[in-house]
Amino acid sequence: MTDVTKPLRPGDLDPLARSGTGRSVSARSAMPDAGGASDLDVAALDERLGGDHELLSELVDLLRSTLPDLLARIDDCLAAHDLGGVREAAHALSGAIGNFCAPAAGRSATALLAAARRGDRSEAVRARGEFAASWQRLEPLLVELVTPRRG
Amino acid sequence: MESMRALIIEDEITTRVLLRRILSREFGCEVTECQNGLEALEALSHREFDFAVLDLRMPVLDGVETLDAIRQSPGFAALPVVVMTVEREEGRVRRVLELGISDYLLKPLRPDHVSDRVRQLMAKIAGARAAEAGSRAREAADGQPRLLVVDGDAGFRRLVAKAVEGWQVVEAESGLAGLKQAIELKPNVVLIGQNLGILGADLLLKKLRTRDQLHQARLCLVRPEGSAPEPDAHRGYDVTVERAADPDLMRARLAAVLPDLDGAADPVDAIGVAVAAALGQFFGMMLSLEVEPDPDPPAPGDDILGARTKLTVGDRHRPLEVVLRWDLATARRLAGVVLDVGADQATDEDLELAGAELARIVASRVKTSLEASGGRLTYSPAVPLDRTPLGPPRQTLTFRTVKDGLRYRVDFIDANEDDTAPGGPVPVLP
Repeated sequence: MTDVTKPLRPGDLDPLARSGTGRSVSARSAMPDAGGASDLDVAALDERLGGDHELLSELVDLLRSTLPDLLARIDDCLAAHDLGGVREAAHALSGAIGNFCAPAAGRSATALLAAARRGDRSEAVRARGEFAASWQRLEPLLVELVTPRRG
Repeated sequence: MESMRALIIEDEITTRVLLRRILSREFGCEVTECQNGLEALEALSHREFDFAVLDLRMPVLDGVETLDAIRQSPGFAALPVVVMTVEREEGRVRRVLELGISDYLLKPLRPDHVSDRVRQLMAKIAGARAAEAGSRAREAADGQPRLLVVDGDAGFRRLVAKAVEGWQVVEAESGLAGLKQAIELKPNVVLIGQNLGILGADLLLKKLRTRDQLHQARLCLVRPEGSAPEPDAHRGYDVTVERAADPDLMRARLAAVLPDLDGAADPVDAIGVAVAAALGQFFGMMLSLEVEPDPDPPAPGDDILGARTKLTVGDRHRPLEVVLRWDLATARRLAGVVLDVGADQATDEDLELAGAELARIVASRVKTSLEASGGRLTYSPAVPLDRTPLGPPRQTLTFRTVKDGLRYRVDFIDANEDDTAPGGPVPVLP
Protein backbone atom coordinates (compact mmCIF):
# COMPACT_ATOMS: atom_id res chain seq x y z
CA MET A 1 0.00 0.00 0.00
CA THR A 2 1.31 3.41 -0.89
CA ASP A 3 0.32 6.15 1.46
CA VAL A 4 0.25 9.79 0.70
CA THR A 5 2.60 11.66 2.95
CA LYS A 6 2.03 15.24 4.00
CA PRO A 7 2.74 17.78 2.80
CA LEU A 8 1.63 16.58 -0.57
CA ARG A 9 4.04 17.51 -3.32
CA PRO A 10 3.62 17.23 -7.08
CA GLY A 11 6.25 14.50 -7.18
CA ASP A 12 4.20 12.42 -4.76
CA LEU A 13 1.17 12.61 -6.90
CA ASP A 14 2.51 10.92 -10.02
CA PRO A 15 2.77 7.36 -8.74
CA LEU A 16 -0.66 7.65 -7.19
CA ALA A 17 -2.11 9.06 -10.32
CA ARG A 18 -0.71 6.27 -12.45
CA SER A 19 -2.44 3.68 -10.34
CA GLY A 20 -5.96 2.45 -10.91
CA THR A 21 -6.89 3.56 -14.38
CA GLY A 22 -3.36 3.53 -15.65
CA ARG A 23 -3.72 7.05 -16.94
CA SER A 24 -0.98 9.46 -16.11
CA VAL A 25 -1.51 12.71 -14.33
CA SER A 26 1.57 14.74 -14.98
CA ALA A 27 2.58 17.52 -12.63
CA ARG A 28 1.63 20.25 -15.05
CA SER A 29 -0.83 19.10 -17.57
CA ALA A 30 -3.08 16.11 -17.46
CA MET A 31 -5.31 14.45 -19.99
CA PRO A 32 -5.32 16.97 -22.78
CA ASP A 33 -8.82 17.46 -24.10
CA ALA A 34 -9.86 17.90 -27.69
CA GLY A 35 -8.88 21.56 -27.55
CA GLY A 36 -5.49 20.73 -26.09
CA ALA A 37 -6.18 22.36 -22.72
CA SER A 38 -5.47 20.55 -19.47
CA ASP A 39 -8.22 19.02 -17.40
CA LEU A 40 -6.40 19.20 -14.11
CA ASP A 41 -3.42 21.30 -13.15
CA VAL A 42 -2.10 19.16 -10.32
CA ALA A 43 0.83 21.38 -9.46
CA ALA A 44 -1.37 24.44 -9.19
CA LEU A 45 -3.90 22.52 -7.11
CA ASP A 46 -1.17 21.27 -4.84
CA GLU A 47 0.20 24.77 -4.43
CA ARG A 48 -3.20 26.23 -3.81
CA LEU A 49 -4.00 23.76 -1.05
CA GLY A 50 -0.54 23.87 0.43
CA GLY A 51 -0.06 20.14 -0.08
CA ASP A 52 -2.90 19.32 2.28
CA HIS A 53 -4.06 15.95 1.01
CA GLU A 54 -6.71 15.55 3.68
CA LEU A 55 -8.31 18.81 2.65
CA LEU A 56 -8.13 17.83 -1.00
CA SER A 57 -9.88 14.55 -0.22
CA GLU A 58 -12.60 16.34 1.69
CA LEU A 59 -13.11 18.85 -1.11
CA VAL A 60 -13.21 16.17 -3.79
CA ASP A 61 -15.77 14.16 -1.78
CA LEU A 62 -17.90 17.24 -1.38
CA LEU A 63 -17.69 18.13 -5.02
CA ARG A 64 -18.64 14.64 -6.11
CA SER A 65 -21.56 14.50 -3.70
CA THR A 66 -22.98 17.93 -4.53
CA LEU A 67 -22.39 18.11 -8.26
CA PRO A 68 -25.16 15.72 -9.35
CA ASP A 69 -27.83 17.82 -7.61
CA LEU A 70 -26.37 21.00 -8.99
CA LEU A 71 -26.30 19.67 -12.53
CA ALA A 72 -29.83 18.32 -12.16
CA ARG A 73 -30.93 21.78 -11.07
CA ILE A 74 -29.29 23.31 -14.11
CA ASP A 75 -30.95 20.76 -16.39
CA ASP A 76 -34.36 21.38 -14.84
CA CYS A 77 -33.96 25.13 -15.24
CA LEU A 78 -32.78 24.74 -18.83
CA ALA A 79 -35.78 22.56 -19.58
CA ALA A 80 -38.07 25.14 -18.01
CA HIS A 81 -36.32 27.98 -19.88
CA ASP A 82 -35.54 29.47 -16.47
CA LEU A 83 -32.24 31.19 -17.24
CA GLY A 84 -32.31 33.03 -13.91
CA GLY A 85 -32.24 29.66 -12.18
CA VAL A 86 -29.50 28.46 -14.51
CA ARG A 87 -27.47 31.56 -13.66
CA GLU A 88 -27.80 30.94 -9.94
CA ALA A 89 -26.83 27.29 -10.19
CA ALA A 90 -24.05 27.98 -12.71
CA HIS A 91 -22.58 30.51 -10.32
CA ALA A 92 -22.40 27.85 -7.63
CA LEU A 93 -20.97 25.38 -10.16
CA SER A 94 -18.35 27.86 -11.29
CA GLY A 95 -17.42 28.62 -7.67
CA ALA A 96 -17.10 24.96 -6.79
CA ILE A 97 -15.04 24.00 -9.82
CA GLY A 98 -12.91 27.11 -9.39
CA ASN A 99 -11.36 25.57 -6.29
CA PHE A 100 -9.90 22.64 -8.24
CA CYS A 101 -7.58 24.17 -10.83
CA ALA A 102 -9.48 22.38 -13.56
CA PRO A 103 -9.20 24.70 -16.58
CA ALA A 104 -11.50 22.89 -19.03
CA ALA A 105 -14.33 22.34 -16.55
CA GLY A 106 -13.83 25.84 -15.19
CA ARG A 107 -14.09 27.32 -18.67
CA SER A 108 -17.28 25.50 -19.51
CA ALA A 109 -18.83 26.43 -16.14
CA THR A 110 -17.93 30.07 -16.78
CA ALA A 111 -19.32 29.85 -20.31
CA LEU A 112 -22.56 28.44 -18.90
CA LEU A 113 -22.79 31.26 -16.39
CA ALA A 114 -22.06 33.88 -19.05
CA ALA A 115 -24.65 32.41 -21.41
CA ALA A 116 -27.27 32.38 -18.65
CA ARG A 117 -26.49 35.99 -17.84
CA ARG A 118 -26.88 36.94 -21.49
CA GLY A 119 -30.12 35.00 -21.67
CA ASP A 120 -28.67 32.83 -24.43
CA ARG A 121 -30.30 29.45 -23.82
CA SER A 122 -28.83 27.58 -26.78
CA GLU A 123 -25.31 28.63 -25.79
CA ALA A 124 -26.12 27.60 -22.21
CA VAL A 125 -27.19 24.15 -23.43
CA ARG A 126 -23.98 23.85 -25.43
CA ALA A 127 -21.85 24.91 -22.42
CA ARG A 128 -23.73 22.44 -20.22
CA GLY A 129 -22.82 19.66 -22.63
CA GLU A 130 -19.22 20.78 -22.66
CA PHE A 131 -19.16 20.75 -18.90
CA ALA A 132 -20.52 17.22 -18.80
CA ALA A 133 -17.71 16.07 -21.08
CA SER A 134 -15.02 17.83 -19.09
CA TRP A 135 -16.40 16.53 -15.80
CA GLN A 136 -16.36 13.03 -17.20
CA ARG A 137 -12.64 13.41 -17.75
CA LEU A 138 -11.98 15.33 -14.54
CA GLU A 139 -13.77 13.17 -12.00
CA PRO A 140 -11.59 10.07 -12.38
CA LEU A 141 -8.48 12.21 -12.21
CA LEU A 142 -9.62 13.71 -8.93
CA VAL A 143 -10.54 10.30 -7.58
CA GLU A 144 -7.14 8.96 -8.50
CA LEU A 145 -5.50 11.87 -6.85
CA VAL A 146 -7.11 11.28 -3.49
CA THR A 147 -7.29 7.50 -3.43
CA PRO A 148 -4.33 5.82 -1.72
CA ARG A 149 -2.79 3.21 -3.98
CA ARG A 150 -3.11 -0.36 -2.89
CA GLY A 151 -0.43 -2.68 -3.98
CA MET B 1 -4.56 35.71 20.78
CA GLU B 2 -8.00 34.93 22.20
CA SER B 3 -10.18 32.60 20.16
CA MET B 4 -12.53 34.50 17.86
CA ARG B 5 -16.01 33.70 16.62
CA ALA B 6 -16.24 33.74 12.85
CA LEU B 7 -19.33 33.67 10.68
CA ILE B 8 -18.98 32.24 7.18
CA ILE B 9 -21.76 33.25 4.79
CA GLU B 10 -21.37 31.32 1.54
CA ASP B 11 -23.71 29.15 -0.48
CA GLU B 12 -21.02 27.07 -2.13
CA ILE B 13 -20.00 24.19 0.09
CA THR B 14 -16.41 23.55 -1.00
CA THR B 15 -15.52 27.18 -0.40
CA ARG B 16 -17.20 27.01 3.00
CA VAL B 17 -15.20 23.93 3.91
CA LEU B 18 -11.98 25.55 2.76
CA LEU B 19 -12.67 28.61 4.87
CA ARG B 20 -13.84 26.66 7.89
CA ARG B 21 -10.69 24.63 7.84
CA ILE B 22 -8.41 27.65 7.69
CA LEU B 23 -10.31 29.59 10.32
CA SER B 24 -10.71 26.76 12.79
CA ARG B 25 -7.46 24.86 12.36
CA GLU B 26 -5.04 27.66 11.67
CA PHE B 27 -6.56 30.38 13.79
CA GLY B 28 -8.57 28.43 16.36
CA CYS B 29 -11.75 30.29 15.46
CA GLU B 30 -15.13 29.09 16.55
CA VAL B 31 -16.88 28.91 13.18
CA THR B 32 -20.56 29.17 12.29
CA GLU B 33 -21.60 28.56 8.69
CA CYS B 34 -24.57 30.01 6.85
CA GLN B 35 -25.66 29.35 3.29
CA ASN B 36 -27.25 32.70 2.62
CA GLY B 37 -27.86 36.16 4.01
CA LEU B 38 -31.11 35.34 5.73
CA GLU B 39 -29.51 32.54 7.72
CA ALA B 40 -26.67 34.89 8.58
CA LEU B 41 -28.95 37.63 9.90
CA GLU B 42 -30.73 35.02 11.96
CA ALA B 43 -27.42 33.80 13.39
CA LEU B 44 -26.30 37.36 14.09
CA SER B 45 -29.47 38.10 16.00
CA HIS B 46 -28.83 35.18 18.34
CA ARG B 47 -25.16 35.49 19.10
CA GLU B 48 -22.15 37.73 18.80
CA PHE B 49 -19.42 37.29 16.23
CA ASP B 50 -16.01 38.86 15.96
CA PHE B 51 -16.05 38.98 12.17
CA ALA B 52 -17.83 37.62 9.11
CA VAL B 53 -16.63 36.35 5.76
CA LEU B 54 -19.34 37.05 3.22
CA ASP B 55 -19.83 35.87 -0.35
CA LEU B 56 -21.26 38.59 -2.57
CA ARG B 57 -23.35 36.43 -4.85
CA MET B 58 -25.77 34.13 -3.07
CA PRO B 59 -29.37 33.07 -3.44
CA VAL B 60 -32.19 34.33 -1.21
CA LEU B 61 -30.41 37.40 0.16
CA ASP B 62 -27.22 38.23 -1.69
CA GLY B 63 -24.00 39.57 -0.23
CA VAL B 64 -24.66 43.25 -0.87
CA GLU B 65 -28.16 43.03 0.60
CA THR B 66 -26.81 41.13 3.58
CA LEU B 67 -24.04 43.68 4.15
CA ASP B 68 -26.60 46.47 3.87
CA ALA B 69 -28.80 44.78 6.49
CA ILE B 70 -25.81 44.27 8.77
CA ARG B 71 -24.78 47.91 8.53
CA GLN B 72 -28.31 49.07 9.27
CA SER B 73 -28.63 46.92 12.36
CA PRO B 74 -27.68 48.80 15.51
CA GLY B 75 -26.74 45.52 17.16
CA PHE B 76 -24.00 44.55 14.71
CA ALA B 77 -23.50 47.52 12.39
CA ALA B 78 -19.81 47.67 13.23
CA LEU B 79 -19.15 43.97 12.57
CA PRO B 80 -15.89 43.57 10.60
CA VAL B 81 -16.81 41.95 7.28
CA VAL B 82 -14.52 40.45 4.66
CA VAL B 83 -16.21 39.97 1.31
CA MET B 84 -15.44 37.26 -1.23
CA THR B 85 -16.04 37.99 -4.86
CA VAL B 86 -15.29 37.08 -8.42
CA GLU B 87 -17.19 40.16 -9.48
CA ARG B 88 -15.72 43.14 -11.19
CA GLU B 89 -19.06 44.80 -11.51
CA GLU B 90 -18.43 48.40 -10.62
CA GLY B 91 -21.84 49.11 -9.11
CA ARG B 92 -21.61 46.15 -6.77
CA VAL B 93 -18.05 46.95 -5.69
CA ARG B 94 -18.93 50.59 -5.18
CA ARG B 95 -21.92 49.72 -3.01
CA VAL B 96 -19.84 47.31 -0.95
CA LEU B 97 -17.18 49.96 -0.40
CA GLU B 98 -19.79 52.50 0.59
CA LEU B 99 -21.27 50.13 3.11
CA GLY B 100 -17.84 49.48 4.53
CA ILE B 101 -15.80 46.30 4.57
CA SER B 102 -12.68 45.31 6.40
CA ASP B 103 -11.12 43.48 3.50
CA TYR B 104 -11.84 41.43 0.39
CA LEU B 105 -10.87 38.04 -1.00
CA LEU B 106 -10.90 37.19 -4.69
CA LYS B 107 -12.25 33.81 -5.73
CA PRO B 108 -11.19 31.12 -6.22
CA LEU B 109 -9.66 31.32 -2.78
CA ARG B 110 -6.03 30.61 -2.17
CA PRO B 111 -5.55 29.28 1.37
CA ASP B 112 -2.23 31.08 1.87
CA HIS B 113 -3.81 34.33 0.77
CA VAL B 114 -6.81 33.78 3.01
CA SER B 115 -4.50 33.06 5.94
CA ASP B 116 -2.57 36.30 5.41
CA ARG B 117 -5.75 38.36 5.24
CA VAL B 118 -7.34 36.68 8.25
CA ARG B 119 -4.17 37.15 10.26
CA GLN B 120 -4.18 40.86 9.45
CA LEU B 121 -7.85 41.18 10.25
CA MET B 122 -7.56 39.41 13.58
CA ALA B 123 -4.58 41.55 14.55
CA LYS B 124 -6.59 44.64 13.65
CA ILE B 125 -9.57 43.49 15.71
CA ALA B 126 -7.35 42.63 18.67
CA GLY B 127 -5.59 46.01 18.36
CA ALA B 128 -8.86 47.91 18.31
CA ARG B 129 -10.04 46.04 21.38
CA ALA B 130 -6.82 46.73 23.25
CA ALA B 131 -7.09 50.44 22.39
CA GLU B 132 -10.69 50.48 23.55
CA ALA B 133 -9.78 48.72 26.79
CA GLY B 134 -6.89 51.15 27.32
CA SER B 135 -9.15 54.12 26.76
CA ARG B 136 -11.69 52.76 29.22
CA ALA B 137 -8.99 52.03 31.78
CA ARG B 138 -7.61 55.56 31.43
CA GLU B 139 -11.02 57.09 31.91
CA ALA B 140 -11.73 54.84 34.86
CA ALA B 141 -8.41 55.76 36.45
CA ASP B 142 -8.83 59.47 36.54
CA GLY B 143 -11.95 60.34 34.66
CA GLN B 144 -10.47 62.91 32.30
CA PRO B 145 -7.76 63.06 29.66
CA ARG B 146 -4.80 65.31 30.51
CA LEU B 147 -3.63 68.38 28.63
CA LEU B 148 -0.28 69.92 29.50
CA VAL B 149 0.13 73.52 28.41
CA VAL B 150 3.73 74.72 28.42
CA ASP B 151 3.98 78.46 27.92
CA GLY B 152 5.80 81.37 29.52
CA ASP B 153 2.65 83.51 29.48
CA ALA B 154 0.49 82.78 32.54
CA GLY B 155 -2.45 84.59 30.92
CA PHE B 156 -2.35 82.27 27.93
CA ARG B 157 -2.15 79.20 30.17
CA ARG B 158 -5.23 80.31 32.08
CA LEU B 159 -7.02 81.08 28.84
CA VAL B 160 -6.36 77.53 27.64
CA ALA B 161 -7.50 76.11 30.96
CA LYS B 162 -10.79 77.97 30.60
CA ALA B 163 -11.19 77.20 26.92
CA VAL B 164 -11.20 73.42 27.09
CA GLU B 165 -13.88 71.36 28.74
CA GLY B 166 -13.65 67.77 29.81
CA TRP B 167 -9.86 67.89 30.13
CA GLN B 168 -7.63 68.00 33.16
CA VAL B 169 -5.33 70.94 32.33
CA VAL B 170 -1.87 71.10 33.87
CA GLU B 171 0.27 74.21 33.44
CA ALA B 172 4.02 74.57 33.10
CA GLU B 173 5.72 77.95 32.83
CA SER B 174 8.92 76.79 31.12
CA GLY B 175 10.31 74.06 28.91
CA LEU B 176 12.13 72.45 31.83
CA ALA B 177 9.00 72.44 34.00
CA GLY B 178 7.03 71.14 31.07
CA LEU B 179 9.43 68.24 30.55
CA LYS B 180 9.22 67.31 34.23
CA GLN B 181 5.43 67.48 34.26
CA ALA B 182 5.16 65.48 31.07
CA ILE B 183 7.28 62.66 32.47
CA GLU B 184 5.30 62.58 35.70
CA LEU B 185 1.79 62.98 34.31
CA LYS B 186 2.00 61.31 30.91
CA PRO B 187 -0.45 63.75 29.32
CA ASN B 188 -2.53 62.88 26.29
CA VAL B 189 -1.73 66.21 24.66
CA VAL B 190 1.10 68.71 25.16
CA LEU B 191 0.67 72.27 23.91
CA ILE B 192 4.11 73.77 23.38
CA GLY B 193 3.98 77.57 23.34
CA GLN B 194 6.37 80.53 23.65
CA ASN B 195 8.92 82.01 26.07
CA LEU B 196 9.97 78.67 27.45
CA GLY B 197 13.39 79.69 28.71
CA ILE B 198 16.53 77.64 28.23
CA LEU B 199 14.67 74.57 27.01
CA GLY B 200 12.95 76.02 23.95
CA ALA B 201 10.07 74.55 21.99
CA ASP B 202 12.07 72.48 19.51
CA LEU B 203 14.40 71.12 22.17
CA LEU B 204 11.45 70.25 24.41
CA LEU B 205 9.82 68.49 21.47
CA LYS B 206 12.98 66.48 20.91
CA LYS B 207 13.19 65.50 24.59
CA LEU B 208 9.54 64.47 24.68
CA ARG B 209 9.93 62.39 21.53
CA THR B 210 12.70 60.32 23.09
CA ARG B 211 10.54 59.27 26.03
CA ASP B 212 8.92 55.89 25.45
CA GLN B 213 6.18 56.52 27.96
CA LEU B 214 5.10 59.58 25.95
CA HIS B 215 4.98 57.97 22.55
CA GLN B 216 1.20 58.23 22.41
CA ALA B 217 1.08 61.87 23.50
CA ARG B 218 -0.01 64.32 20.84
CA LEU B 219 2.58 67.11 20.63
CA CYS B 220 1.13 70.37 19.40
CA LEU B 221 3.04 73.56 18.62
CA VAL B 222 1.23 76.80 19.47
CA ARG B 223 2.39 79.16 16.74
CA PRO B 224 2.20 82.97 17.02
CA GLU B 225 -1.07 84.67 16.24
CA GLY B 226 -1.35 85.71 12.61
CA SER B 227 1.33 83.27 11.43
CA ALA B 228 0.58 81.09 8.47
CA PRO B 229 1.00 77.34 8.81
CA GLU B 230 4.22 76.47 6.97
CA PRO B 231 5.31 72.99 6.04
CA ASP B 232 8.34 73.28 8.34
CA ALA B 233 6.12 74.20 11.24
CA HIS B 234 4.70 70.70 11.12
CA ARG B 235 8.06 69.01 11.13
CA GLY B 236 8.31 66.93 14.24
CA TYR B 237 5.03 68.12 15.71
CA ASP B 238 1.84 66.20 15.33
CA VAL B 239 -0.07 69.35 14.63
CA THR B 240 0.13 73.13 15.08
CA VAL B 241 -2.46 75.56 16.35
CA GLU B 242 -2.55 79.32 15.99
CA ARG B 243 -2.47 81.32 19.21
CA ALA B 244 -5.46 83.53 19.98
CA ALA B 245 -6.08 86.10 22.68
CA ASP B 246 -9.82 85.73 22.35
CA PRO B 247 -11.10 82.80 24.47
CA ASP B 248 -13.81 81.77 22.01
CA LEU B 249 -11.44 81.77 19.08
CA MET B 250 -8.85 79.82 21.07
CA ARG B 251 -11.53 77.35 22.10
CA ALA B 252 -12.51 76.79 18.45
CA ARG B 253 -8.90 76.38 17.39
CA LEU B 254 -8.13 73.96 20.19
CA ALA B 255 -11.26 71.98 19.47
CA ALA B 256 -9.84 71.31 16.04
CA VAL B 257 -6.62 69.79 17.33
CA LEU B 258 -7.61 67.98 20.50
CA PRO B 259 -8.30 64.29 19.89
CA ASP B 260 -11.59 62.82 20.97
CA LEU B 261 -9.96 60.09 23.07
CA ASP B 262 -13.06 58.01 22.81
CA GLY B 263 -11.52 55.17 20.92
CA ALA B 264 -10.76 57.13 17.79
CA ALA B 265 -7.81 59.47 18.03
CA ASP B 266 -7.30 62.19 15.48
CA PRO B 267 -10.10 62.14 12.90
CA VAL B 268 -7.46 62.82 10.26
CA ASP B 269 -5.84 59.50 11.15
CA ALA B 270 -9.21 57.80 10.80
CA ILE B 271 -9.65 59.40 7.38
CA GLY B 272 -6.20 58.26 6.32
CA VAL B 273 -6.96 54.68 7.30
CA ALA B 274 -10.34 54.76 5.57
CA VAL B 275 -8.94 56.29 2.38
CA ALA B 276 -6.13 53.76 2.20
CA ALA B 277 -8.60 50.91 2.79
CA ALA B 278 -11.06 52.18 0.18
CA LEU B 279 -8.39 52.59 -2.49
CA GLY B 280 -6.80 49.24 -1.76
CA GLN B 281 -10.14 47.47 -1.82
CA PHE B 282 -11.31 49.21 -4.99
CA PHE B 283 -8.12 48.49 -6.90
CA GLY B 284 -8.10 44.93 -5.60
CA MET B 285 -11.68 44.08 -6.43
CA MET B 286 -11.99 45.98 -9.68
CA LEU B 287 -8.53 45.61 -11.19
CA SER B 288 -7.16 42.61 -9.29
CA LEU B 289 -4.28 44.79 -8.22
CA GLU B 290 -2.74 44.26 -4.83
CA VAL B 291 -1.67 47.54 -3.28
CA GLU B 292 1.15 48.23 -0.87
CA PRO B 293 2.63 51.39 0.66
CA ASP B 294 5.22 52.88 -1.68
CA PRO B 295 8.62 53.04 0.00
CA ASP B 296 9.97 55.33 -2.72
CA PRO B 297 7.17 57.76 -3.46
CA PRO B 298 7.25 59.87 -6.60
CA ALA B 299 7.22 63.63 -6.27
CA PRO B 300 4.00 65.23 -7.43
CA GLY B 301 4.33 66.48 -11.00
CA ASP B 302 2.26 68.11 -13.68
CA ASP B 303 1.84 64.82 -15.51
CA ILE B 304 0.11 63.18 -12.56
CA LEU B 305 -3.57 62.99 -13.28
CA GLY B 306 -6.25 62.67 -10.71
CA ALA B 307 -9.16 64.20 -8.96
CA ARG B 308 -9.59 66.26 -5.89
CA THR B 309 -12.25 66.19 -3.31
CA LYS B 310 -12.66 68.11 -0.13
CA LEU B 311 -13.80 66.34 2.98
CA THR B 312 -15.02 68.30 5.97
CA VAL B 313 -14.83 66.38 9.18
CA GLY B 314 -17.74 66.53 11.60
CA ASP B 315 -18.18 69.62 13.67
CA ARG B 316 -14.48 70.15 14.07
CA HIS B 317 -14.55 73.13 11.74
CA ARG B 318 -11.38 71.91 10.21
CA PRO B 319 -11.82 71.44 6.51
CA LEU B 320 -9.50 68.90 5.04
CA GLU B 321 -8.86 68.31 1.38
CA VAL B 322 -8.14 64.78 0.33
CA VAL B 323 -6.36 64.89 -3.01
CA LEU B 324 -6.05 61.70 -5.02
CA ARG B 325 -3.49 61.42 -7.78
CA TRP B 326 -2.36 58.49 -9.85
CA ASP B 327 -0.20 57.88 -12.86
CA LEU B 328 -1.47 57.68 -16.42
CA ALA B 329 -1.40 53.88 -16.65
CA THR B 330 -3.50 53.60 -13.50
CA ALA B 331 -5.86 56.30 -14.70
CA ARG B 332 -6.44 54.46 -17.98
CA ARG B 333 -7.16 51.17 -16.27
CA LEU B 334 -9.44 52.96 -13.88
CA ALA B 335 -11.36 54.58 -16.73
CA GLY B 336 -11.63 51.16 -18.33
CA VAL B 337 -13.49 49.66 -15.38
CA VAL B 338 -15.39 52.69 -14.14
CA LEU B 339 -16.60 53.96 -17.51
CA ASP B 340 -16.32 50.72 -19.43
CA VAL B 341 -14.19 52.26 -22.18
CA GLY B 342 -11.14 50.64 -23.74
CA ALA B 343 -8.01 51.72 -21.91
CA ASP B 344 -6.53 53.02 -25.17
CA GLN B 345 -9.67 54.88 -26.11
CA ALA B 346 -10.02 56.82 -22.86
CA THR B 347 -10.03 60.57 -23.45
CA ASP B 348 -8.74 63.15 -20.99
CA GLU B 349 -12.34 63.77 -20.04
CA ASP B 350 -12.83 60.05 -19.37
CA LEU B 351 -9.77 60.00 -17.15
CA GLU B 352 -11.06 62.99 -15.24
CA LEU B 353 -14.53 61.49 -14.88
CA ALA B 354 -13.16 58.17 -13.68
CA GLY B 355 -10.95 59.95 -11.15
CA ALA B 356 -13.85 62.01 -9.89
CA GLU B 357 -15.93 58.87 -9.53
CA LEU B 358 -13.23 57.14 -7.54
CA ALA B 359 -12.92 60.22 -5.34
CA ARG B 360 -16.65 60.04 -4.71
CA ILE B 361 -16.42 56.37 -3.80
CA VAL B 362 -13.55 57.11 -1.43
CA ALA B 363 -15.52 59.96 0.16
CA SER B 364 -18.49 57.66 0.72
CA ARG B 365 -16.26 55.04 2.27
CA VAL B 366 -14.70 57.61 4.60
CA LYS B 367 -18.15 58.75 5.60
CA THR B 368 -19.09 55.19 6.52
CA SER B 369 -15.98 54.83 8.65
CA LEU B 370 -16.46 58.10 10.44
CA GLU B 371 -20.09 57.43 11.13
CA ALA B 372 -19.20 54.05 12.57
CA SER B 373 -17.04 55.89 15.11
CA GLY B 374 -19.60 58.61 15.74
CA GLY B 375 -18.11 61.24 13.42
CA ARG B 376 -19.71 63.18 10.61
CA LEU B 377 -18.57 64.21 7.19
CA THR B 378 -19.61 66.35 4.28
CA TYR B 379 -17.82 66.62 1.00
CA SER B 380 -17.62 68.78 -2.05
CA PRO B 381 -17.74 67.13 -5.43
CA ALA B 382 -14.40 66.26 -6.96
CA VAL B 383 -12.84 68.91 -9.16
CA PRO B 384 -9.92 68.66 -11.57
CA LEU B 385 -6.56 69.15 -9.96
CA ASP B 386 -5.46 72.12 -12.00
CA ARG B 387 -8.28 74.47 -10.99
CA THR B 388 -6.58 75.85 -7.92
CA PRO B 389 -3.10 75.54 -6.46
CA LEU B 390 -2.64 73.04 -3.67
CA GLY B 391 -1.38 73.93 -0.24
CA PRO B 392 1.39 72.02 1.49
CA PRO B 393 0.21 68.57 2.53
CA ARG B 394 -0.20 67.88 6.19
CA GLN B 395 0.16 64.20 5.51
CA THR B 396 0.79 62.12 2.41
CA LEU B 397 0.09 58.47 1.74
CA THR B 398 1.75 56.85 -1.24
CA PHE B 399 1.00 53.46 -2.67
CA ARG B 400 1.97 51.25 -5.55
CA THR B 401 0.50 48.14 -7.01
CA VAL B 402 2.53 45.06 -6.17
CA LYS B 403 2.64 43.49 -9.62
CA ASP B 404 2.61 46.36 -12.07
CA GLY B 405 4.23 49.08 -9.98
CA LEU B 406 1.43 51.52 -10.80
CA ARG B 407 1.56 54.44 -8.42
CA TYR B 408 -0.80 56.74 -6.71
CA ARG B 409 -0.69 59.14 -3.83
CA VAL B 410 -3.10 60.81 -1.47
CA ASP B 411 -2.36 64.22 0.03
CA PHE B 412 -4.19 65.53 3.07
CA ILE B 413 -4.20 69.29 2.95
CA ASP B 414 -5.50 71.82 5.44
CA ALA B 415 -8.00 74.04 3.68
CA ASN B 416 -9.73 77.29 4.52
CA GLU B 417 -13.31 76.96 5.63
CA ASP B 418 -14.54 79.27 2.88
CA ASP B 419 -12.57 77.44 0.21
CA THR B 420 -15.51 75.40 -0.96
CA ALA B 421 -16.35 74.16 -4.39
CA PRO B 422 -19.31 75.79 -6.17
CA GLY B 423 -22.40 74.95 -4.25
CA GLY B 424 -20.50 74.40 -1.03
CA PRO B 425 -20.10 71.19 0.90
CA VAL B 426 -22.83 68.67 0.30
CA PRO B 427 -23.67 65.61 2.31
CA VAL B 428 -22.33 62.36 0.96
CA LEU B 429 -25.32 60.30 0.03
CA PRO B 430 -25.34 56.53 -0.18
